[in-house]
Amino acid sequence: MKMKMLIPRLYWGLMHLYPAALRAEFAREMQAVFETAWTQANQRGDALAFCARELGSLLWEAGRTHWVITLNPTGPIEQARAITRMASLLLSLFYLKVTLGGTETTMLLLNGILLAGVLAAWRWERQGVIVMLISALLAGFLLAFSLTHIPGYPALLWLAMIPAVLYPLPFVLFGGMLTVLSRVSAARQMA
Amino acid sequence: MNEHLPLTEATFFILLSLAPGGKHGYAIMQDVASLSSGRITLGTGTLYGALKRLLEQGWIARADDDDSDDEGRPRKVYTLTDTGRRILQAETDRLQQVAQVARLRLKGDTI
Repeated sequence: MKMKMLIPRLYWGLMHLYPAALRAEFAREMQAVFETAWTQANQRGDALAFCARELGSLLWEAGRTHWVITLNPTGPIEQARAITRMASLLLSLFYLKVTLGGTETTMLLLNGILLAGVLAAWRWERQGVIVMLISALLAGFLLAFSLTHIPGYPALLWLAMIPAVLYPLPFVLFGGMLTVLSRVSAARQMA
Repeated sequence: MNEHLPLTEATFFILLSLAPGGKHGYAIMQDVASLSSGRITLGTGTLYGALKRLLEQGWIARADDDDSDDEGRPRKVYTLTDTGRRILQAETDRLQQVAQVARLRLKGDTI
């Protein structure tokens, strides 16, 4: 009984993955359709398959909608935002690909979190940017630490600082860009 | 008109579902499953993603329904526009032509 009530609430929560404008237009209607379909699925006894299908459908459509909005920016600010997002996505994918072949699991984890932050920034810009910055900076520190602790080599701290700064630098710039663009966009909307 | 063809199967069945008259979201979902003999089961997200695109293209229209659902929530009804009907007709003609060619080939005729 609890599960029957929990799933529609969970669906309502997951709908926050959609862009705000789309949610404002369709969320109530979608929730009503989902609840009716959920009741029917329970009566048929295929609740699990129904949940899997609905989850896949929601995630796919939410991702697709964000992607379409990014590829079709409406003004110069949205264009700059789209370019920043695409650049940060490509670079974070590149970082992840490079570390996938290595043995450094902490670095792999940090790059995974970095990618998650980049993706989250698509929907929750401020929170995503914070995750993106923290994981990029930590990865930079980790890189510096590992370079100054190579057995048999002297600890060239100043040399290790170069990759430590260069590694997170693009994401500091992307994060700064997204924050500034978000504020400009909000100020324009207010005006 | 032809630049929009071929339609995806989901789009074709959604338009086909609206051909006899207006329907609510859940009724479209059920009708698509029925028309496709259960082959296409639209998730709520997929259905509304498709409806949004069709509304933007002007192939369907959306209006408030006088009746509310069981929970008393207001409902929206979707209808096919003239453009949507023309697109559906064009896609049906295209499919019919494809089927006709295939049948002839299977009978051994050369075209």
